[in-house]
Amino acid sequence: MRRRLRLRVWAAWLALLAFGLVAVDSRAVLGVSALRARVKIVELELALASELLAAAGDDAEVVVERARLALYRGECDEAVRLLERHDVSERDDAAELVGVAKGCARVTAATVVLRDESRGVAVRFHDDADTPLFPYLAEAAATVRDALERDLGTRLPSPVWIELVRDQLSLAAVSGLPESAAKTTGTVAVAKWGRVLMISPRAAKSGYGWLDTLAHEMTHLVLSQATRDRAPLWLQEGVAKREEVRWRKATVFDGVVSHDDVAQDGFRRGLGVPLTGIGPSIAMLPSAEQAMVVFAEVASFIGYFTEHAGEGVMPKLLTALRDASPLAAPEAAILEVTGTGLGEWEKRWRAWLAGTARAPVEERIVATPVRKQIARGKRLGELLMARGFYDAAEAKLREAHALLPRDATLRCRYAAALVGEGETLAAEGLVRAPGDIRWPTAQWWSLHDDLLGKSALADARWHAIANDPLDAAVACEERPRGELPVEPKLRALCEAARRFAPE
Amino acid sequence: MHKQGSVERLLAAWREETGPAGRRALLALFAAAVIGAVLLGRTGVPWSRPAALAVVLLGGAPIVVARRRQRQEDRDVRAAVAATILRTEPDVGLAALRALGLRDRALAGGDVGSPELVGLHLSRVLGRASEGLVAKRGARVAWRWSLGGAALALACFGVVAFEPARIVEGLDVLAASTGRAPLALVWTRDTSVVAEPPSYLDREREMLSAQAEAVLPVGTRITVGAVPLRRGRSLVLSDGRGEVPFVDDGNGGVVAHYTVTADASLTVAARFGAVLVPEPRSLGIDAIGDPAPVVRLEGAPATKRLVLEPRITLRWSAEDEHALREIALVLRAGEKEERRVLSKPEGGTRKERGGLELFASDRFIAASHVPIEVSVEALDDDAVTGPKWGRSAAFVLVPPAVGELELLRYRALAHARDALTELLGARLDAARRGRGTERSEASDEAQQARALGVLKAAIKASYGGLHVPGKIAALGRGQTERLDKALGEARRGGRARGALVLASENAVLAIDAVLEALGARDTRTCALLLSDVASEAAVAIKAGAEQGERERSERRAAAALEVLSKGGTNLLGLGELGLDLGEIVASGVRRIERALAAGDRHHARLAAEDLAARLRQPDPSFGSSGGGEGPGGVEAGGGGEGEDARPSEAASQAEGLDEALAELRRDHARERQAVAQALDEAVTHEQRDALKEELRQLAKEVRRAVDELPEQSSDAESARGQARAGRAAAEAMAGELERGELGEATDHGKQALKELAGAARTGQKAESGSREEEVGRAAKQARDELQARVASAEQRLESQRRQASEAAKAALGEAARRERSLAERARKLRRDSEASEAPLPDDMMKRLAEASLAMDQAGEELGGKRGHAGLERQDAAQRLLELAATPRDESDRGRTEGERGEMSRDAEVPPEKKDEAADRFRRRVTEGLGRKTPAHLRDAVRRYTEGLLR
Repeated sequence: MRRRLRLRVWAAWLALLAFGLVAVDSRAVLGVSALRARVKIVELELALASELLAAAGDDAEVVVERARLALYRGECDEAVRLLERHDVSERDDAAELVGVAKGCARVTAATVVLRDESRGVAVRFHDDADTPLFPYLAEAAATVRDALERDLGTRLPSPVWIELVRDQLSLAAVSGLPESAAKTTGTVAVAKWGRVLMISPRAAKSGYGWLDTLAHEMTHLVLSQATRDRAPLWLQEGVAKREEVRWRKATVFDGVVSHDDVAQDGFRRGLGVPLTGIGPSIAMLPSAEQAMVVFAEVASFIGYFTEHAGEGVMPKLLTALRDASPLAAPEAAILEVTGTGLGEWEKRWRAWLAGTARAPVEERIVATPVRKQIARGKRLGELLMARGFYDAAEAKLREAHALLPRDATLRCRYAAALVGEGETLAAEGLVRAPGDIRWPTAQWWSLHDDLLGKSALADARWHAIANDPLDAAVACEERPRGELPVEPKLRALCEAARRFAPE
Repeated sequence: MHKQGSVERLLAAWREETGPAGRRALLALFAAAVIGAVLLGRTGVPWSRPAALAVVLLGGAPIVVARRRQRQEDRDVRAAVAATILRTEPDVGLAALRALGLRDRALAGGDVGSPELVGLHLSRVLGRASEGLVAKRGARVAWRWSLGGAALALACFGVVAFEPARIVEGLDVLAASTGRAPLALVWTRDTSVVAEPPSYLDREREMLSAQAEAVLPVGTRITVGAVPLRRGRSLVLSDGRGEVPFVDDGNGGVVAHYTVTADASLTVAARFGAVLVPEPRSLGIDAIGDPAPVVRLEGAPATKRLVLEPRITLRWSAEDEHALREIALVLRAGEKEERRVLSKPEGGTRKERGGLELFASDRFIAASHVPIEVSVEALDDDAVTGPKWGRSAAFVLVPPAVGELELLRYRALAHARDALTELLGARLDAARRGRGTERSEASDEAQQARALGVLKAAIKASYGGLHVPGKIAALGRGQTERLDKALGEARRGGRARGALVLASENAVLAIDAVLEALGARDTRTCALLLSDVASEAAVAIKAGAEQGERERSERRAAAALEVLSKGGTNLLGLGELGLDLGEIVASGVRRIERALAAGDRHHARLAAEDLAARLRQPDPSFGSSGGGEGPGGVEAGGGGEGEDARPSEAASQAEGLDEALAELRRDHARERQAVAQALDEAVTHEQRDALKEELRQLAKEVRRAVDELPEQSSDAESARGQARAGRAAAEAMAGELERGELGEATDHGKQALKELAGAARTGQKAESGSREEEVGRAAKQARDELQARVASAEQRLESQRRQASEAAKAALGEAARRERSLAERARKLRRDSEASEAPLPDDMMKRLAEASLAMDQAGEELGGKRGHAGLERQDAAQRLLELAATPRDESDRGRTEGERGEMSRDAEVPPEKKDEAADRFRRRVTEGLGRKTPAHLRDAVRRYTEGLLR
């Protein structure tokens, strides 16, 4: 009797132990699944991540990963729903995500999404007035994807998600980047949550290089995808800076202002920082000027590195970073691939940079009274032109142009006044030679294309659009109001540009 | 004739005796049953009718039984035997029954003998029965029946005779239909009807005829008194819908009270259970309700656009038949409502009228972006059915869309800038062509006059209550004056033509700069308003999740979207930032509408919240260096030339000058206060007390000196009138002396001397022995006495000031240094203004120069230890600084007024003692008159306040 009782007690203990083991084991299994899913999310294998999470139960840890997956898919409402579960919302990682999810849900609510299935591109337009940009975005995204696959050995999965938001506030909301930091550094785009989040070119007064920016951000996506998000910041930004112009045909202006020169100038002025000391994001540097220097710095280094480490080094480096232990420093991958450590590479690059003894970057500080005089001339010229006094405007703009002859904006205003006067030939001379200007603006490309016609630089209109697509003169091929371009997508762009443009 | 031995013979004998008595008894029984049934029915209870019927049936049943028994006896010999001889001669009866049994057997063929034999036997048996005995017994029974019948008949008679009306009532009640008897009966006599209107009507009681028609106010209490014809009836006063019971009046009569609430026909009635038996007469009442007050709003109904009429005058009148309790201005906009009490009349006021003005800047109106219904409502004092509001017709005020007024102002200034640009363009063109002819110069002058006319008009105009801010107006005037000066110099030739062009350029750029700044400021203001509207849209959309709220929510959301849409369109025209945010509003509205159209309320709400969040931060969409020139422009750190210099610093310089001027004003006011305090504190308590006592004594003497002078006069020019004025001034002097205001006291004293001297002169010219001459003499005497007192006061004042200045010499020395420094600041401000792109207008510059001069003089006086003289110069300088200030921003003024929620009530000042508000107003004015006022402003203040009181 006593023996039977003892057996029963033992059996009960064993059953309890077995249950405990199974429970602990299933939790461990679920935890691993969540971790694996997270890796797959970073690698942009979202379908696989979804499968893993579907079988991973309903633990808070798993739910957080589901929410992350929803964010990567742009399903922000779903992310909010998941993160608001009581036991989930108490987690630190959930708290980090919930703000972004809510901001994203708000910004993306009732927006328009256009897809190009054949190219594998999807764009969400915060402002539906921007939809005429879609053909340009889709075409650029597809080209960039091919270029990045060629250079980095990794292809972005379809669809490439692009969120085109209307302003910096919305960019901050969907990305999680602090708005103040975005404003300080003039951030126009962020690659985050497996998507390119960028501000509409409509938001900037004179547009910006939005298609190159797209390429830049897509590079970040590829780097994260290829390295399981282990690429250090200098690598991310350096490669992205390099790739932002490699996807398209080069122009005579590429390299006019060398990253090496800017970097060197930055070091000279004390604005440069060591590669490993950039911080969490270039967008969070104290000033736009320093951000520019650091961009040039990392781009210069990557240029030097790819040139001196041999062709094909980049795909190898990315693979090494992906396969490295999560605890290993990223620099170890460089050592593994090239046989030389990062410190040594940086030393060599700095020595090379100093030794090239290039002329410093063009002096950009113009004395305040002169700047004021230029500003007066420019504004008076604009006002006089608007009232039809082209002669007077031309006189004022000529004076301003004489003070800063390589400024494309002034040159374009001056040329426009000449056109108004009927002095087309003189205007043409102003926008003919790329060497006359320091850097082209969208207006320069547009006038160059319009005035020079067949003798203009290749793809001049495209370059104008790639910089300021919603400028009425650019989008409408300098045509007067009432006339529209012939090409359908340009025609749509012209109509969008004129929609709210002042008379 | 019945044969011997037949049963009929016996029956006949029986019936002959009992028949008549039996019939009478049965009839009496039936009558009693009927009477009982009627009385039972009179109770009127629900079961009374069936019970009455049962009683009647019971009463009739014996008659039927008797008839049936008689027929039975006729048919059946045994029954006849049993009824007759079996009771009188039982042996014979039993034998007869046996014989009958034999007969039956014989007839059935039994062996009892032949039927004839048996029949003969029966006849013999019956023949033995005594007919006399049967008759004898019949007579006994008949007697008993007669006795019973008579008793019943007597009882019936007694019941009926006691109160025959009960039988009628019972029958009436039994015949009732739907609770009302068919036959009206008279229940009362000597009926009296008194009507007492509600007390708040203040009307007399009224006697009414009981059968007439009466027109009575609702709430009238009717008292019906009467003497009941019969006791024991439950009498009521019925109006057909309800009834009021009559109660004993303690004087043999009954009384009932009834309150009129609606038209009715009043009838006295008796209630029997569920049945009402009315009287044939009734009192018809035509009830007159108390109508709501009648409120009239002059000009209403009408629709007014606030852009065109930013000031709406409301003149109202309210009238009630009895009394008004409250009058309120009611503003309704969408779901919002605000009531503002205009008046609370007391003492049974039946009519009230008033006026007020509403401004577009009123808090409620400014915050409403949907049409606002404005009406006046009045509440009566109806104590019967409760107070009622009467409402006037309404004005519908269509508020300007968000940004509409700002856009009008912006366009006007842009128009002025364009006019100046055209002037500049023409001058630059002329300069390129060479020096112009006399004719072109004339044309140039004309064009400048036109352009400046446009600018002045833009600055002066009101845009639906919105004005050009003071700083911008000052800048515009400064530019105008500069251009005029430059043109004047250009007329003299030489190189001044170039200066004219430069001045034109500066003017264009200055107006352009302030336009940009104003556009950005207005955009931010409007964006914040629109942010609230977007939030309202979000709340409304969310509220629509509940089915019951759906319709209201849709209305609210639609209204909010309309406001957003119009506001966004207006923003588009407000410069660069306006264009940016205007596009965002348009896009946001499209998003919300798209989601709503798809029935997706969740995303519609989120889109509205997104728009609200964006508009709460009305900054440019892209706020840093992106988009500049250079190879950057990706992700961050766009390169370029950096921030362009501004073409004109006019806007910021105007702002800076305004701030500097305001600061100077504040600092100088503080400085003046410090000097006054130093002088005040320089006198010790003891000295002050001694002085007070001395001045009190002096005040008494002053009063005594003018005590004999007249207090009233209808002719100000007469000796009496002048003496009265002199007395008043002297009394004012005494008052000031008592308050310790020596400076003011001497001023009043001098005024009194002047008036009294005039009175003395006029008196001298008057007829000898006349009253005027007498007054003139008294005035002269008073003047002589007063002169010494005034001189004394002056000496005391001078002495006091000297003492104070001496005691505060250290502080005054320091104050002199600071005052000179302030004067220098004023001069620097002038220099800055002259050198700036936004010069202050000449009048402001002139005042600033005068202020700096006054400050210098104040510094001199203070440095020379003449504290009070210094203080006076400081006052003068402060006044000039105040005058040199840029006019207040009218739009801001309007907003502040609105925020306080006040309304201008200058449409009509309430007459004296009309209500409390008027009293308070008067008190404030009177107190204001009594306060200390600088001597040089005293007359102006008095004129102003007296004008107000008038």
